[in-house]
Amino acid sequence: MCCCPKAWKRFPDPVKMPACSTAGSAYLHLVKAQLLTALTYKTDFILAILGNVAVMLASIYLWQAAYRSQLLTTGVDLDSMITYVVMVALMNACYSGTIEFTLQHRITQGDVVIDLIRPIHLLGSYLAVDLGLTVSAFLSRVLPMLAVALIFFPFKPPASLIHGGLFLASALMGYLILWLCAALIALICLWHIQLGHLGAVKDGFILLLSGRIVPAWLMPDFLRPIMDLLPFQHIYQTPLSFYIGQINLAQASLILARQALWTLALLALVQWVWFSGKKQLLALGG
Amino acid sequence: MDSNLLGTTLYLMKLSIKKQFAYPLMFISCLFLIPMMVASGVLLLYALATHFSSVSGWTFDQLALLYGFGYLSHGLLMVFGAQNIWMDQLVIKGEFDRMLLRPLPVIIQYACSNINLIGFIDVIIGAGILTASSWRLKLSWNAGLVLLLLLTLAGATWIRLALYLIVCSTAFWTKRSSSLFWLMTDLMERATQLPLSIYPQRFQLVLTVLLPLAMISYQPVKQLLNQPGTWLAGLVFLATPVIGLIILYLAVKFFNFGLKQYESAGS
Amino acid sequence: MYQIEVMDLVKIYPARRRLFEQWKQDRKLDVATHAVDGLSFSISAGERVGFLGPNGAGKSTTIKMMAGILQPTSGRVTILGQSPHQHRIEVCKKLGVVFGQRSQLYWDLKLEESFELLRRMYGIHAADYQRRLNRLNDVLDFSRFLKHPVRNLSLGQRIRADLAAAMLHNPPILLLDEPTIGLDLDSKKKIRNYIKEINLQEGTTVLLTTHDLDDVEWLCDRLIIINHGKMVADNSIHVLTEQIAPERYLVVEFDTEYELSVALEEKVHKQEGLTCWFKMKAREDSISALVSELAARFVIRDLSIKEPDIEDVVLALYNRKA
Repeated sequence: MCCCPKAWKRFPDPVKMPACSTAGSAYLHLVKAQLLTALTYKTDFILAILGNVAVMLASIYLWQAAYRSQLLTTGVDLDSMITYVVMVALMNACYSGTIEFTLQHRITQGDVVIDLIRPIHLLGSYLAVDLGLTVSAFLSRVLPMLAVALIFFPFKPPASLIHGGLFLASALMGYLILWLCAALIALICLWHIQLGHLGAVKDGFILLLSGRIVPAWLMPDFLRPIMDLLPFQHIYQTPLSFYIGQINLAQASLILARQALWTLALLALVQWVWFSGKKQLLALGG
Repeated sequence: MDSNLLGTTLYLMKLSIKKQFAYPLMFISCLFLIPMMVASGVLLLYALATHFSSVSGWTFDQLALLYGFGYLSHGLLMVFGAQNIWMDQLVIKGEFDRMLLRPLPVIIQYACSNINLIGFIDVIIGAGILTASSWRLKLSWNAGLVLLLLLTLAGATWIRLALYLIVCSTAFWTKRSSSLFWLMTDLMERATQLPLSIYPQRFQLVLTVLLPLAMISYQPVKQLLNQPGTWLAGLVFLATPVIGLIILYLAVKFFNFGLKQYESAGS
Repeated sequence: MYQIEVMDLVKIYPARRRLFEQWKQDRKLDVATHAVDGLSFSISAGERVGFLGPNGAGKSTTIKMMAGILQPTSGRVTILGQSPHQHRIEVCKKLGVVFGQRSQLYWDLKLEESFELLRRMYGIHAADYQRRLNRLNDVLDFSRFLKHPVRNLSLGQRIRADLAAAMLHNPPILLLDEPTIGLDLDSKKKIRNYIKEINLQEGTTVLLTTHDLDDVEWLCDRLIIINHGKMVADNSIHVLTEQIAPERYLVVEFDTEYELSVALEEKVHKQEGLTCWFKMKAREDSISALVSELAARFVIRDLSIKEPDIEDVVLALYNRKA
């Protein structure tokens, strides 16, 4: 039953868990499985890339049009803005996760009990699956999008080599934060199975406050403190601020530390919810 | 016979509305979700307004007017066209068999299968934004203009519905229409929420002639802002419903053509 | 005038096209499938026909073509003189179709809402509607779950509801595709009784597909048997039985083991302990002659006659070449 189409966009096909025994090969198998599944649907792929490129182009044209008119307040120059917008589009194309839908689907189907018996850590296996998706999305979508951006628009490299490295570290943590938020929402349905659309609500917050649509320096003043209070800005805003060189190296360690703290806090929270939920699930008998 | 058709259609719609009340939680979560999504769009406009004097010649209030008007037809699309999302599921599961067994045209059964009241949230929000920005712009309305714009709104909805129907009917052949659906959604959003003048000429041409997305909100609102009383404006306002009806007719024909394919391929 | 006419009906499912499907494909599916391969038969008003065949024979495909859901590759189907594919809306008003494996009701609606919707779709007058609903309820007994959503009904309840829905507009032809699948005995009995009753009283033509041969025995006087999409047999049950298994058995239980003469020994079909099955050709042998002969020589403890089993008839026909 649908109501909000946007909410349903995030749900690709549910993941099939393989019947492997050793942990390492199991993880690898999951990553490989995702790659293969993604590659077999050629037309879907092309259409998805077209969609990603179209959205990216629309953002670029919007900011180009905006910068043509007189600036009232300077934030950042046009080329950096275009770079920011392109990077957002590239990251967004990779950041697809199935954890929410998969977990919800398996819980309502009762399959999760089978998964609990397996020797590999369940959440870790889901992360492996999503990493596989991300890698395959990177290889198949990011590269053509990057090509379009490089050929037609003034896309800039990172502000410096160090900034580039900081960007990578920050982006990795940002990805984990996004994934952990999704996992947290998914795990809440261990207790309340009907709260299906909480995930879409979370997505709404992320859309507003992560720097994806509006970068932090353009946000109205009353929203800045809210942005700082929540971890969502670390998904897009923080890594990209490193990339375009907005953060000087002196502040870098502080900001990275804050991001790391959020990552660890969410990790701990997810683990706690997982274990207490698992206890309850096993007590109820699945 | 025709009165029976109408009565049955209305009853079908009533039943599909009733179905919604079985899922109140969905309505509540959408009540939160939709304003937040709109908020991010409006926030972008606000950010543009406070840091740039205009976007391609459009000021903040003008952009908001465009956004609001576009959102109105988007809401109506959500009300009447939500079932297009699962067109491929319907084909795969053989749900059209049920419709083919009934003495009612399949397109009517399909169109009434999911009247989505939640879309009215979008409509109300869009109307709110439209009203607020039109007041700030000090636009003068008269009865004739309102009626004309209602007609344009209807036409905009028809164009949207028709384009989705065409795109999703490919599921009759491919059994996978979701990627095309999302591509169309992305294109439609980008072409109706922001002025088309920001895009290069060739894209503007495609979006006016090939896929008449420009007629959904950009062209009518442009006329509204310039000189709503002129003949040209009237022509543009009327062009949208005319194009809407033509393309809707073509969409239904295409749907029926796809249905023939479904009938020959089985499920 | 025949009510249902099927002429040289062919349905070929083409080999899978690659354009929009997966890269790696199952090689087996690359061959075109002849689901129905030149089928012809005619059914008159008021007949009760059993449409049989092993799984994959093409029965459901044929029924779908008769219902207008599927388009034939070549050949013709006419229902009351019209093509169900070209005149879908007119023809479907004259058909009642039940697919046992998939409900034709509306999943999320309450049963009474489904009925009301059908009443409007078929344009049934209120007075007729109430009367028919009551009649159907007398036999199919669904008043208890009228207010339940269809998705909450058990299989038996759902099929009874489907049957009621198919009959609501009083169609002259009923197409039933495995209507008793998965049902308990009580439900099966109710359904069989109703179908027979409706056929005898209203003259409704019934075409029934089933794997339950009790259904066939109870309901059908004619059998059409297909396999691999082709016609294998089309005749009344009597005639088919005569052709395939014209033998009856005299089952005799003796009080002790006896030595049988050679002539008698030839007639023995099988032996279990003290019980002997004697084969008797329908027209040739006389029961009384055999009984007298046995009674004269031996002591008989129990005696019965076993008629040919429809199962044997049908199985033999399934294995017959088309």
